[in-house]
Amino acid sequence: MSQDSPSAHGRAGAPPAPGGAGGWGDRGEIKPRGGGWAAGGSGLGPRGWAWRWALWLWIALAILGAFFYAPLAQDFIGQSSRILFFHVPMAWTSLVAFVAAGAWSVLYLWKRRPDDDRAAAAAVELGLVLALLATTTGAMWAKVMWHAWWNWDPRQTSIVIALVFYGAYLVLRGGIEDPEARARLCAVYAVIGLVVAPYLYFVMPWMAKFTLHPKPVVNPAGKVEMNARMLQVLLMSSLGFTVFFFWVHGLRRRLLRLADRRAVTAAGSAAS
Amino acid sequence: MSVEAHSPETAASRWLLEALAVFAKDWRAELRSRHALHTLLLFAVTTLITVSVALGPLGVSSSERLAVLPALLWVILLFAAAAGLPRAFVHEEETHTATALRLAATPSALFAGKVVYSASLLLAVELLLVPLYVAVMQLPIVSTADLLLALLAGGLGLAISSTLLAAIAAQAQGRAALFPILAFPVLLPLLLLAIELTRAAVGGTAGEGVLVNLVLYDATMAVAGLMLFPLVWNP
Repeated sequence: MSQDSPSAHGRAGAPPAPGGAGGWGDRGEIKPRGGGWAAGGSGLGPRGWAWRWALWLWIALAILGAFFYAPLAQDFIGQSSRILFFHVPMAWTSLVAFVAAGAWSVLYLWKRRPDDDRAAAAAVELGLVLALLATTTGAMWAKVMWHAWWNWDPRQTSIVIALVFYGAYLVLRGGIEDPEARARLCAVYAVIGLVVAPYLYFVMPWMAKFTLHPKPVVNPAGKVEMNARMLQVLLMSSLGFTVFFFWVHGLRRRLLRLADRRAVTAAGSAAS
Repeated sequence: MSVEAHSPETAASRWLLEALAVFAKDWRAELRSRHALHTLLLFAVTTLITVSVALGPLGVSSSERLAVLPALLWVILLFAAAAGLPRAFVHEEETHTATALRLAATPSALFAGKVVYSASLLLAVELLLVPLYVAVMQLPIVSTADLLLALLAGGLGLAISSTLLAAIAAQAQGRAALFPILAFPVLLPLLLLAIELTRAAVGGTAGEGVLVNLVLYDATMAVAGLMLFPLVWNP
């Protein structure tokens, strides 16, 4: 989506500066880890492997906990309440992703570092995937519990608007060739999203006057109304999803960085 | 634009003069061609006819009309705005006058001038369209004040958000198609609030703070626009 063909950058008119510090194709930004890609293998050192295995183990435990450790919630049909341990963390992590994308966009407009723009783009992409998953699992759960795939519950409305908004963000990214203009305009659009978000999250649910969703676990009263075992698994799963998001986000960010560098190098060699 | 750099005016009055100059320039250009006004108006009337013909012979039952008709009115206005308002910046890019504007006016003053122009254009269309809509659809107006407030605050919010998003869309490819995609999620809260207030005007019930939230939306987007527009406008 954001990987244009190398020739697109060549026509864009931005001065290609291969190897220039802080530029779109900065060579110094990527440090091969461990043995490096040239050395073969995965290129990960023992420390890199340790926390990745810990993360897989953590998520595996959360999945096992969701099915065998946590009890069923009251007043829910069959085993349907177990989807809670995946649906809520997905929605939560997509929110984290969108807020992080907004923060990186503000940072870009302030410091004008290309890497912040890539970070924002990567966060939006992953946030969209997570929001789609949250919407799908939510619709499945709604079919079981409320007997309808969709009924414009305020939170369903909010997440659909978020999907449309960040979908539009990616369309906008695809529509601008010049990397600097793309980063600047997309960052502004993401900040507009932050400005509108309170209306989606507070005003529209208030207008709807009712919701079928259960009360948030962390509610304004500050009281946690949930079975202790369920809460443990929910928090465990949420933390796992959040760390997983930041890991994949780092990978995606490096990939975008490589694509930018390749484009600038290609534009440079085409010019000479 | 004719303000001279060494005039003794303060910065604030210079800013105002610049905004007014942009506003006057846009209206002068508009009155020569009447392109945007005709586009907006014809789009609005065409949609109105579609809605009216589709609903008219069948009729909407009286219990549903108060809920349905205000929503359709704002959908018509949204379509008209999406057809006409992006022109404010697309036209500047197409005729290559954007660079001259960059030199002539402070970005925030340019934004203010464009917003006032778009808002006046939209209000002119509302002035012609809404009486027609009320007459054709036989809408019972209970509170004229609520209707006027909804049209005023809703139109202003539509103009503010559209101006900011049109400036973004004008710099990308596929400008015309991109604008509605960018604008829809940003405009949706505004539209829902305006529809709610219009429902109150035709005898429905609206929540207490709908007008307050509508005005708040306008104010937030105006402040955000004044701060963000210079970033959009200047490379």
